[in-house]
Amino acid sequence: MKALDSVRDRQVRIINLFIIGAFGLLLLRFFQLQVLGVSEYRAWSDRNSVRQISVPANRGKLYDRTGHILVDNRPSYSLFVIPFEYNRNPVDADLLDDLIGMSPANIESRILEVGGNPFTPVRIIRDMDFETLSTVEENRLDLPGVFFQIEPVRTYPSEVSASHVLGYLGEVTRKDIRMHGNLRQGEIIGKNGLERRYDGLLRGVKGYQYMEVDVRGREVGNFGKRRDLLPVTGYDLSLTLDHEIQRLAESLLKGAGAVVVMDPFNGDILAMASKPDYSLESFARGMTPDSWDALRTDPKRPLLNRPVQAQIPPGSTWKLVTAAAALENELVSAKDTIFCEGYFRLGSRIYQCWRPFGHGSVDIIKGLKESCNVFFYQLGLRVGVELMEKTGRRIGMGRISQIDLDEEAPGLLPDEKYLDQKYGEKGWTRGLMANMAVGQGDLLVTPIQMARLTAFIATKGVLPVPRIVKAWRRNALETWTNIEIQTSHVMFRHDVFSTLEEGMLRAVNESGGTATASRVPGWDVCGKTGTAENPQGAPHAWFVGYAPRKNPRAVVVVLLENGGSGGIAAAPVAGRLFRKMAEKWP
Amino acid sequence: MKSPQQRIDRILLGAVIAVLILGVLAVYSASSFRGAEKYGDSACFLKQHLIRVLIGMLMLLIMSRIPYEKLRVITPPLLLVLTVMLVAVLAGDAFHGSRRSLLLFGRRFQPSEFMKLVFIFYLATVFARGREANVFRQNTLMIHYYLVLLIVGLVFLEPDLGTALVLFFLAISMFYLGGVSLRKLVQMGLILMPLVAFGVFVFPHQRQRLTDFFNSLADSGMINYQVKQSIIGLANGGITGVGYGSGKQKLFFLPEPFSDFILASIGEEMGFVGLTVLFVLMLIILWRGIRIALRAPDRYGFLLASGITCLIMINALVNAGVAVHLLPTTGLPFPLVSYGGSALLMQMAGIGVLLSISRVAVTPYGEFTEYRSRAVCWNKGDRRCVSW
Repeated sequence: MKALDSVRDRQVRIINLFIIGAFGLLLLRFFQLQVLGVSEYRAWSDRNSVRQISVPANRGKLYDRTGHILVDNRPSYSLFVIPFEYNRNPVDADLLDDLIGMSPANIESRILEVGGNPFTPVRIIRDMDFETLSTVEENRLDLPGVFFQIEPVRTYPSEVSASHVLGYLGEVTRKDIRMHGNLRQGEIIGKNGLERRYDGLLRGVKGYQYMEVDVRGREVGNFGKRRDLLPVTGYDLSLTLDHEIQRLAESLLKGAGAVVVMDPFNGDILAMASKPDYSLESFARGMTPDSWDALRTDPKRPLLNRPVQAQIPPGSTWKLVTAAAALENELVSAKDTIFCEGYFRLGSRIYQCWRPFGHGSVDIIKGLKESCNVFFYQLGLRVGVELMEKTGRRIGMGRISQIDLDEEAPGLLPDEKYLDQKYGEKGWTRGLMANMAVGQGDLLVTPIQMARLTAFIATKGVLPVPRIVKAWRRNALETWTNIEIQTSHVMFRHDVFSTLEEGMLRAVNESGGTATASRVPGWDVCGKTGTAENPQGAPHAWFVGYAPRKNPRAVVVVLLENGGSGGIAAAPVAGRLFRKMAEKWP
Repeated sequence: MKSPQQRIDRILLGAVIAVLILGVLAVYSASSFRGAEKYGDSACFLKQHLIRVLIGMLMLLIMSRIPYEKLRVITPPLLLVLTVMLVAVLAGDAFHGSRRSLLLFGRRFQPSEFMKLVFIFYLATVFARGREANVFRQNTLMIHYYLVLLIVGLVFLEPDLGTALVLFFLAISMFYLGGVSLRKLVQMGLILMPLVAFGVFVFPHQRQRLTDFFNSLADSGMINYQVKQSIIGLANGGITGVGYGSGKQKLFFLPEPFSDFILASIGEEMGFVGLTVLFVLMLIILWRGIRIALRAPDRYGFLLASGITCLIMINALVNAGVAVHLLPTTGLPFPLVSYGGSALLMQMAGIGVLLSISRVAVTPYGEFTEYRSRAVCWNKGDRRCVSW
């Protein structure tokens, strides 16, 4: 018994010794490698340096509806530093300053700004010219850790500007990285417009290249057996824009303003112009902080995409909503007339009509045609805030249109609660309602909302969701995949549409109408002008309209900030656009 | 008569937890870059690892509560199921170049890892009976030996040379601890020789790897890429390391920086000091494991405890041996440290069994004056445990 026990003891002791011996051997080996430092292994460590270079993907291209290219890519040279190597062996600072005009302090602050891993290259210059590049290459030995890479940048071959719709690109910020996990420092993403909304489709997938480099930063060869990863180009997009109409719309806008041309049935945006605009090319070349600040603080606000972001009182174009609300609720009939003496007295206040001596006897159609304020003051009082708000909400006022742009303003459609809050309960008067009926007061709309309203009248009930992208494809070898059209139908009494249409038709095509400047022979244009009073300066000029009446093909909304009278300033712009389309689509 | 329930071995548990914490730190540091590169989340591997550690702890607690005698009952079915799974793995699709894992409940599962533990259960059951039992008759012994070879062969065919070798050495250790004489073991080894020769002949890949390894021992220029990167990392680390999180081998150079070559990551960032701490912790586990084995109340417990201790140590030694270029590359994770679900779960279960044995250990201060013979006295009334 004792013997067997000692057998077990011996077995355990032997195995124990064996294991401890092996551990000892391993520790000795670690000691040899780590503490004694076999010089041969140290040498490997110094020699070995691999650069992981991310190869940016080409972003997808943007085409207009006819296949005309709007946004393309071109190769450019960017200069990078690798912070780890840059900090380890300081480069010839004067040389670099001479070459690219960046002092070491600049470069260091740039590295800090980008942050992140010390082995990830930091872009210090975008779109370098070739001469600078070749000088950098000549002096490569004095610039360890500095290298160039070919990167695609955006180019805009078309004469169309459309800067707000297309949008510019920029480097990701920390916030972007927090929001989308798959981004890395230094990458380029869309910052606004379509480039931002469709960034996920357009961006593509970047690739990687692994290069083994020596101490001097020269590429020794492709690294190991690891396979490089090729980048995948982003998706192409086909826009609903028509470059001819877009270009005309842009050329017609002289001062600040917006033009929207839309297909009333499916919401396709044929043109969306906003002025003042900015040059997308200058973004592609890389904005300097100064020019960016100048753009941002410009009092004319060139970065604002006015068709979707300008919130402006609608002026007399709102009479369409007031009329619709009254007709829908049977508060007025086509036969009702009032007598306009040129003013309207409510309590102790006098409300003026725009024509000093009045319009005489006015019914609703004449009211729309000649834009008689007195008629609509009275109509507005009948409709009241609640019905006005309800009707407006149904046809897309006071809320975003869900167009495929991220930057969209909702406008303002006051309800009783809002007015109570602003003026105190019962602090607001019937006068306020009268004012609102002609599109003044607290009301604010965006041009795209007015375009939807007009489309709703033109199509007799279709309220389209505007869209700028109609199809995508993976690459040029594939066919386009259409994006679904979204429309909703809003049921109104039929005479609402016929009355509004008649008023708008006469406003354009009958003498005495306010919008006669937009007349196009042979194309029944229907339209309504507006002149939104503006306490800060000249009134804003509006025109909303569509044509042809029977089978409407386009809605046009023109807004000219401080443009003056709608009939004189805005209607002719719309007229030019309608004429162009009449020629295009005979 | 049973010895009263005692506390589990707290020193062992403490050492295991310390190693686990070291592992979590090392996995996070070594995986953050790749995680961010691949999934855009630098903590994604860490999260996975933490979940596995938690599941492992749960496993450990469960196993430490189950009386280890119960393992005898589930051993035959487990052995059967795992053997079938090994065959199924061979029939399945290759994943990363070899067929090692099965997709079970949406997770990859390596039967060969669990086979290591079940192997111990199985051989402990076989040898628990002592010398008088039939086991030591030549034929019976050889039947078990051939079964062992069959299972090792299945793992070898995956191909997973590393695990196959670990299983083989584990089996040899169990045979030896079970009482098979050294002379017999040598005889059994000789039987294997033609088989090994055949294997080397059939699998040129494995032969190439072996010859490469022996060549590289003489000529450092021949060292294969992964091991070279591992050595560079270790050499970079020096005595105190380059600092937690600042290692550069893990960035692009070192393959598998948080599983097979995690020692290189630790050695680079925490230096010789860090590795020594890790090894001291492993030696504490060895010390407590052997102590538990020697104090086990019966032969079955002794074999289980010493087998599990051996398993963990063999895994650690083989992994470290590869990292410092003393063994050919095998692809074994370092126990309790490396990222990898099946291995971690298996090891935690094993340590749970160790703790369960420690719960009923017989102390030298109890009623048995001479503790070396306590197993004999204590089990006199137990039918299953024949005195030896």
